[in-house]
Amino acid sequence: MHFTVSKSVFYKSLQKVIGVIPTKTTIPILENIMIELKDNTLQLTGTDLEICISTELKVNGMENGACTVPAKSFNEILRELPDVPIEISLEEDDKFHIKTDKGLYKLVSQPKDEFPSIVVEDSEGQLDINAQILYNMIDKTIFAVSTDELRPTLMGVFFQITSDEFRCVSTDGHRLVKVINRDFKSSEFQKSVIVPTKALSLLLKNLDTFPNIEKVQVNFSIGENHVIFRIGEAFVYSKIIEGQYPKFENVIPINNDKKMIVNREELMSSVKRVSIFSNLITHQIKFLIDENNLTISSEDIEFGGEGNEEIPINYESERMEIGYNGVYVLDILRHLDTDDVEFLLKDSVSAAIINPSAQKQNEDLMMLIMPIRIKEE
Amino acid sequence: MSNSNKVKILSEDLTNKIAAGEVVDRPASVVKELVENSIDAGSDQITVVVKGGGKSLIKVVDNGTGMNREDAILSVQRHTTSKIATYNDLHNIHTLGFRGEALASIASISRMELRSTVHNENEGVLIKLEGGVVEDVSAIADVRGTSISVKNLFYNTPARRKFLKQDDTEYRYILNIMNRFTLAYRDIEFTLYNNDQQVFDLKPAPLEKRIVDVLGSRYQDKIVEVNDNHNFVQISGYVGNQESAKKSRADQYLFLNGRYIQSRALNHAIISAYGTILPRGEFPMFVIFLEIDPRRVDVNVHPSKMEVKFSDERSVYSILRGSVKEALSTGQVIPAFQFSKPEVPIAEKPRLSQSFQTQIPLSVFERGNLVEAIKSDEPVEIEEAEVEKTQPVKTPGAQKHLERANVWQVHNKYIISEIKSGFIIIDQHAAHERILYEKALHNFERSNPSSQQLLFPIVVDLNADDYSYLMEILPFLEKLGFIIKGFSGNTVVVEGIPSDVKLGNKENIIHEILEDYHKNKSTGLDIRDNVAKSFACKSAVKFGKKLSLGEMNSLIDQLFATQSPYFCPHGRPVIITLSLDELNKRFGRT
Repeated sequence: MHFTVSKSVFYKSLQKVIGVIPTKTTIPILENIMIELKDNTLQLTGTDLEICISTELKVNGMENGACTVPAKSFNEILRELPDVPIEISLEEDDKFHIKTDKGLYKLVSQPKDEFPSIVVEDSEGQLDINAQILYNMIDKTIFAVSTDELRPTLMGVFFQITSDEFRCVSTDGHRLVKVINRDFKSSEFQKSVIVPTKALSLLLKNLDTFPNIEKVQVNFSIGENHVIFRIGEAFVYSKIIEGQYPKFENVIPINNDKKMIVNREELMSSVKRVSIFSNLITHQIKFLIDENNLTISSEDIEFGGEGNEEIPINYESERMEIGYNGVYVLDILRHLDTDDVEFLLKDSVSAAIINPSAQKQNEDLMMLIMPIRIKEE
Repeated sequence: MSNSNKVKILSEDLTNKIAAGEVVDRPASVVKELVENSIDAGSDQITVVVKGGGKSLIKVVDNGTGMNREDAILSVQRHTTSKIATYNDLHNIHTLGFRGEALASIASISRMELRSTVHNENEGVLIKLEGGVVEDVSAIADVRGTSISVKNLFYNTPARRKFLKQDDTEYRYILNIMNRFTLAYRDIEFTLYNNDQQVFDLKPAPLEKRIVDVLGSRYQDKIVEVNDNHNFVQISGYVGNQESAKKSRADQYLFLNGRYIQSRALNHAIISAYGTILPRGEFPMFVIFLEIDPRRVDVNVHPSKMEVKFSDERSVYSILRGSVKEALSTGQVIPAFQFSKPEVPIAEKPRLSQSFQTQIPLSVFERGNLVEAIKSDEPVEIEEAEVEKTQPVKTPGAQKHLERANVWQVHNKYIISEIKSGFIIIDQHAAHERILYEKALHNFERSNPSSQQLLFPIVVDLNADDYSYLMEILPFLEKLGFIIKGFSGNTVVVEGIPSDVKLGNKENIIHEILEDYHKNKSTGLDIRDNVAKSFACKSAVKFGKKLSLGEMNSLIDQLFATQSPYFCPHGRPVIITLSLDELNKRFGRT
């Protein structure tokens, strides 16, 4: 293997793959990245056995070949180099040479066939979706995914594809997000899968590198136990989380008839300030919702701190007092982007629905939060 | 008319089969009954042969007193026994069997052959039975003793047969029963064959050797003798030291007057004698024999005779606990932990003897001093980079709030914090436990719990026992912030959990609290105290969890706001102080 390439081009491509490389593994070869040259196309691949990411870039090829090199050192030397042309070659003694006008660096390589190869089974269906749309859907759901290893099915985003809807759902049992999109081309198949969080955050990082993401198409294909997101030559492969996703439709209330409309920015900054005085473990804050007025308060019994703020709202039903985890409220508000948001409420112990005041075209976004029951003395 | 009589007297055959189910529920119970008979017959050699997990054959051969023709025929009938004759004898039971139902019961559900020869008689008897019916009685020439073989167990009770597990599993039950006998009767030679292979041939031996022979060489030199005499109870046997502890309770044997018994309370007495020597989740081996005047215990509680009633369980509990404690302390079970004052007997100062604490004057532990020590620690500016967003809120009302910059977590288990005169080490789990415990007690009084509602309520299946415990403590759990509703039968639904229970614990928390409650109950804890302890222990941040700087600071603040920050609710130390003087001394800088 022998090629030349500019540092910045190579480094940028490497960033798309580097995130998947495990830092602690019992299989040392996984700490390597695979580099394969065919004519003028270089393919970079990394995997942790659950997820595999691969990308391609154009280089000046001189001799085809393939090998694997320690990802960490390779990444570090590229990072520290100025943007100069670099010449890379694999020598007879399996040493991986990186040559610049500054000097020569050598890494110990390992043969390609020791690197685990991902066997991709046949896909059961696929669809093309705009990268910007997909990015938004994942971004809006991924924060509410559970980290509770006792309930593995909640540790990923649930993708549901029906003939005319593409849905993403996430929940940790305390909050839930559902995004529906209708702007995609499906080849008439229906399928649901749970995709692990790590794969999706790597995918988001990958999509971040595109300067004009709204023009990029992502091909999303689903197999029996894997998914693949293809963006041009690059792909993110991931095993899916086996198991039954909870029947979330049943727990989304439909008769929450008390509507509170509030300015998002205003509420967010109030909650942030009041939360400072909430209990550090429970993060509990209290909403006192009255006619056109919302009082947000918190109290840390242990240390005696208190916070209290009032903001105007649009609300016409009866007075209510509801406790929430302030962190959850902020998370949700941060992931909405309209000026106003709408809370649909029932009572102080039932789920509240939080919606943007206006939905985007072809999109339906809903967030849900469970309250903290406060019993007054 | 005859059709209208719905209530009928069951035939004897049927009552025998029903009764058999009480006594004989699996091949292992046949082995148990037959070996008990052999022991009661004064044998000193007992051979047990099993095939197919005991389902196809169980044969017990002994060299005991044997029976003559008449006795033998009577013995296979119900309620015949040579062991008791009058009601008064029931209160003075010295033999293992006494109900007189075993042979008849076993015979009624199998094909049985009974051979027996009385010592010094030339002629023995052979009785063949099928389903409890005597098919043939004949004379044989045999040596002294009795041999009973049981074939095709449960052949005529298919329902029971269905419930039998695989051969291997049934065999393990048998082996377990045999272990009980071999440990209890060291004067008897026991031989066991399984599927034509000899499993063991145990010659008479002292208990110490038997334990190693039976339970394995892992206990070689790792057991401590227990021997204690009190006016009404004698205790003898061996307990394992902490090196030989296992993750399971498998090697725990308790015998009362030679009979294997199960007693949660007494097991607990033994385990609690270990105090904190054993890590959580590890269990010691023990083989303990209690001798108590038969008049002070009632073994006639359950047909399997494993449960007993003591007339004075609390005294037995404390005597047993004391004896084991003493054995452990004199048996040098704790040297590994102890690098000072090994002469401190565990029974008196179990907590202090295992840490550096013994080397520090006790006055350091008086609360005022330590708080003073921390307070006087000069506040150090916290570096911006270290501080997380969740940094604790500094409020004027927080009197106990102390600026601490030098706080580290080691191994995700302990928090180390620098104080002026040295440093303190805090057990993060124990610390949180103390905080939650006091909070729980406080909440019982105040009743304004906050409860995080769950989107997907947790369905918890309980057994009848646990369900009744849950009902007992439900009012207290509700005050802590649990919202638990009945569902159906013994199933409950958890709709809300205390808002300070961290995610990840909630799935099992009800089960764990009940288990802990159950365990503590036998020690006679007050119900409030017990619920608070169980809750605190199960909801506290786990040993091994990574904490942020903010969390650590908050934990320390809350800890020092508690009534007694130095000990967790179970009495283990929470804080260990290591003074500079002590460090200097150790590094030879005096």
